[in-house]
Amino acid sequence: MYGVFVLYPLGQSVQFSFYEWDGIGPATPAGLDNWRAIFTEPELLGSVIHAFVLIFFYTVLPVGLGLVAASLIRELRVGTFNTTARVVLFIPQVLPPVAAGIAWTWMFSTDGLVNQALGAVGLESLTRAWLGDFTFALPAVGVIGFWLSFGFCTVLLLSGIGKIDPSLYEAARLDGAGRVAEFFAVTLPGLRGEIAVCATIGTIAALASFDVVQIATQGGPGYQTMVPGVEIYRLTFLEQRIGQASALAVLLAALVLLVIWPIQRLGRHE
Amino acid sequence: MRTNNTLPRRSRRPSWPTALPVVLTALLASCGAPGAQSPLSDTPTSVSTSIGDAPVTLEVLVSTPDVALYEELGEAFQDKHPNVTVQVTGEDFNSLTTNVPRLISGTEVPDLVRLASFGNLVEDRLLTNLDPYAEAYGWTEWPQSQFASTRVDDDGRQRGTGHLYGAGPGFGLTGMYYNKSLAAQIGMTEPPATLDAFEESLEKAKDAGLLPLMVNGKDGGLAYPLQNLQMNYAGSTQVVQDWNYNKPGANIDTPALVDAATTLQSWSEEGYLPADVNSIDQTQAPARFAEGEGVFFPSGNWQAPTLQDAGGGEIGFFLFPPEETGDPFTAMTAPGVLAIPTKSSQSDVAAAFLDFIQTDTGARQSTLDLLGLPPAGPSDASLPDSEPGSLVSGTVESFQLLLESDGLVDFMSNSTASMHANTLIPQTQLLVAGKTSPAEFSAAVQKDYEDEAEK
Amino acid sequence: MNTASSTRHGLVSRVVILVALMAFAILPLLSMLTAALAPQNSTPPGLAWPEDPQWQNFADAWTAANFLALFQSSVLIVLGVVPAAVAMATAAGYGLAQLDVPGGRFVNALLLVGLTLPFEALITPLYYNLRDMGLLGTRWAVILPLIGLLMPFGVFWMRASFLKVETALTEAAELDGATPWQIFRQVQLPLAVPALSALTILFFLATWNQYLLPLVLIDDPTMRTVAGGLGAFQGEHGTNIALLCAGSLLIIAPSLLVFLFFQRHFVKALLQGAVK
Repeated sequence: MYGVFVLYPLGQSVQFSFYEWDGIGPATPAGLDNWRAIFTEPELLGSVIHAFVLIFFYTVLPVGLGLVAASLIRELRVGTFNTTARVVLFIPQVLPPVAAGIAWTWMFSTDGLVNQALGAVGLESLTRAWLGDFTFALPAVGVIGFWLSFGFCTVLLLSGIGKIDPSLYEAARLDGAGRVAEFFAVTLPGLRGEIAVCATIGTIAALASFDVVQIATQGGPGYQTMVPGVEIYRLTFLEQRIGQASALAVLLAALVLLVIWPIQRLGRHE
Repeated sequence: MRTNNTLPRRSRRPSWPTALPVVLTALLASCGAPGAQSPLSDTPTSVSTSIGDAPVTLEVLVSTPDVALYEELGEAFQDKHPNVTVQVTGEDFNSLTTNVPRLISGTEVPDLVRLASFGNLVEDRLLTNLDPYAEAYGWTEWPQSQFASTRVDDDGRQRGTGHLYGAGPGFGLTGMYYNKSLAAQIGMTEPPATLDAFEESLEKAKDAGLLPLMVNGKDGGLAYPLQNLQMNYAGSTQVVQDWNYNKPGANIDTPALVDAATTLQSWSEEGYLPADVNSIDQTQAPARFAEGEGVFFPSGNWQAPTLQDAGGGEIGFFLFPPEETGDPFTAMTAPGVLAIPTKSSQSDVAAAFLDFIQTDTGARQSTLDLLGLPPAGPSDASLPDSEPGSLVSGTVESFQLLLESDGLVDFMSNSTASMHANTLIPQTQLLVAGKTSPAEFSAAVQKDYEDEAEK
Repeated sequence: MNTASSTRHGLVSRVVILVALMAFAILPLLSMLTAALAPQNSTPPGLAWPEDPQWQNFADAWTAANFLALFQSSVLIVLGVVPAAVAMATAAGYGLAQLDVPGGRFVNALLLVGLTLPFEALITPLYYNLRDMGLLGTRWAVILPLIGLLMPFGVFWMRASFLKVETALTEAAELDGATPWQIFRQVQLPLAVPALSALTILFFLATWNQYLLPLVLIDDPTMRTVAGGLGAFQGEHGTNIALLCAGSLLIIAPSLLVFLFFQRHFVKALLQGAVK
C-alpha cells in the first residue's frame, strides 16, 4: 500500500520533473528546464519564498510565544480549569483547515471581527480588507497558521515544563537566578524535545500549506500569497504543465527534509 | 493534515542515507516516458439526428450557478423525448475549469461539459468535432459569427477558423451597470456617450463623495474595463481578436494596452475604485452595488436577472462608451460553451440536446429568464420575451445592436487556459495596487501568453 | 509587599493570560456562530449576538450544500480508511518493534522518507496512476492512497508504543510457552490500547479533515468528504455569510464532537506520543 501509493509516485514525480508533459499527449524530455524555471520564473521562486515566510508564523511565533506563555503560567494548577484550558487551546489543531480558512476569511473581511475590534478602540484608520491588501495578505495568512498551531504548542510546552525536575528550579533559585536567567538555564534546555516537535509540525504545515491558502486567497492579491502547494495544483490541473509541477513538488519534499533535519538533531536529548 | 506529522522521538534511529537508495530504486522502477497513448479520432464516423427509443441517460456537467437552468432545459427535453433522462451535475466555476481536462480524459466522462477555454483539449482529441452535426441539423444555415469563437483550427490552437467544437444556449455580454438615483445626484440623466464623458462622471461621483466604480477585483472584474479601454484606444478590435484566437504571431503588448493599463491605474490612484477592490468577488460586487455602493459597475448580462430583482428598478445598463460619439460600440461576449467529449457514448443524444437548447422557443426563454443570456440560433428565430424597459430587455437590445455592428469580441481571459487565473487576475491586482507599471503589465500579459502557446 | 500577596498577584495575572489565550483560540468560532445566526444575506457585525437568532440557517445550509450526501460519503471514506490503516499500522509497528524482522532497519528508513512528505508532492502522479487503475472518481481513489499516506506516521506511533513494553514481560511469557501470536494478543495488545485508540482518533481527524485528495481525485462533489465539499459551498454562497458560517460550523461539528468526547484520552496520548 505504502509502496504503491507513496514511494512509486514519489519516484514518478522525480521522473516527470525532467519531462515536458501535458498529462495527455506524449511527453518530451526537457532536461533541467523545469528545474531552471523554478529559480528564474519569479512566480515560482516567489511561492517558495512565501513558504519560508510562513515558517516564521507557523513555527517561530507559536514556539516563541508558546514558551513565554507556558513559562508564565507554569505553576498554575487549578484542576478542572486546567483541563478546560488545555481542551480549548487544543481546538484549532483538530479542526479541518478548510474551516479555519473560512472562519478567518470572515474574521479578516471588511465587516469582520478584526476590523470591528480596531474600530472599537479608535483605530478605524487601520481597518482594511486584510486578505486583499498587498502588504498584509501574507502576514494575515500567517496569522491563520499561527492560530492553528499556537494552542497546541503551548499545551505541549506546558506539559513539558511539568516534567522538568523541580529541583533544577530550586537549584537555579539558590544560585540567585532571576526569572529570565532561570528560563534560559532550566526551562529552555529542558524543553528541547517539545520545541523540536512543535517546530517540526509547524514547518511541515508551513511548507506544505494548501488548504488555508486555497480557501482564503487563492494566492492573491497579485502573486502575494502564492505557495508551492497551490502552485503545484494549478500547474498540474489548470496549466497542465506536469513536468513543472513535479519539479516543484520534488523540491518541496526535499526542502521539508532539509529544514526538518537540523531541527530534529537539535531536539535530541542525548 | 497536521495531526499526522507528530514525530515519535524514538523513530529517529535509522539514518537518512539508508533511505536514499530506495528513492533511487523507486525512480528506476518508473522509467519510460509518460503518456504514450494512441491518438483518438475526434470526428464521429456516423452521426444521426434520431435519438432512438432505448432509455438513455444524458450526463451534463456545468458550473453551479447554471444548474437551475440546465435542470429546466433537461426537463423540457425529457418531455419531448421520454426515453431520455437528463442528469445535471454542478461544480463551482473555478474547480470546473481546472478539472475539465482530467475529467474528460478519464473513464467516466459526462456527455456534455461546460468549457471556458479549449486549452489543449482539441489538440489531444478529447472533444468531438461537431461539423457533421452542424451539417445534419442545419446550423450551417444560421449566422456563422455566433460559432466563430468555438471553431478551432487543425493545429488545435487557433480559433475562429476550422472545425466546430462547441455550442451553447446563449451569449454573455459585458457593459456598464449604473445606479440611476446616484447618477441623478451627479447630474447624469442619460448614459455617457463617450469615454471622456464617462471619466467626467467618475470624477463628479468622486467629488460628490460617492464610490464611482464597484469592481470585483478578486476574480477578474478589472479585466473588463481594461479590455474595453484597450479596444477604444486601439480604434479596432482586430488586435485583441487575433490574440484571443491564438493567431500565429499575435501580440497584445501594444501602446493601446499600455495606455489602457495607465488609465485603469489612474482610476485607482484617483480613488475611483473601492479601497478593498482586490478582495471583492463576483458575488459580493453585485450585492454591494445593489445596496447602493458605487455609481457604476462594469460586468456582464449574466448579472441582469439578479440586479433587476435586487435593484428595484434603480439599475440601468449601457454599453462601454466609445471614444467619439457615433463610433461603433464594442463589448466582450462568449457563448456558454458546451462541448461533447470524444469519450461520450451518447454523442447523438448530446447533439440533439444542443440543437434543442438553441432552437426550442421555451428553452430560449428559460435561458434568458434564468441566466440573462440572449440566445442566438437561426436568424429567423423569435427573440424571447422580456419586460419592456426592464434591465434584462436593456441587455438584450444591446446584444442585438452589437450583433449588427459586429462589435462583439471574445474575452482576453479565454485566450489560453490559464490566462484568467494565473495572469489577468493577479496582474490587474498588481496594476491597481500600483505594484507594477503599465508597461510591465502589458509585457507580462504577452509573456505568459507566449509561454502557454509554446507548450 | 509580602510573599503571599505577590503569589496571589502572580496567580491572577497567570489566569488572565490563560483566559486570553483561550479566547484567542475560540474567538473565530464564536464570530462564526453569531454570524451564522444573523438573517441571511445581511451583513452581520463581527461579533454580536443577533437579536433574533435564525437557527433555521443551519437547516438551510444543510439542504443547500446537500450535506446529507456529503456526510454519508465522509463516513464511508472514514470507514474505508481508519480500521484498515489502524490494523496495518499496528501489525507493522509490532513487527518492527518486537520481532526481529529481516530488513527492519531498511523498512524503517523507507517509512521515514514518507513521514515528512507533503501530500502535494505526490498528488500529480497519484492522479495519473489512479486513472490508469480505473479508480478515479470512486471513493477508493481517496481511501487507498490515504491509507498509504497515513502509514508512516501510524507505524512509528505503534512502534514507539510497542517499544515501551518491557522485554521482561515478553520473555516471561515466552518461558511460559506462549507463541508469538499469543504474546501479541494477550500481552502486547492490551498494553497498546491507549496508543491504539489515540491513533484511531488521529486517523479519523486526518481523514475527515482531508481536502486536497478528494478535491482532485473525486470529480463528483457529492462523493467527496465534507471538508472537500465545503470548498465548493464557499464558491456558491460567498455573499451569504450567515449560510456560509452555518455550513462551516456543521462541518466542524463532528471533528469537534469526537475531540471533546475523547479529549481526556486524546490530549494525554498525543502529548505522550509526541515527546516519547
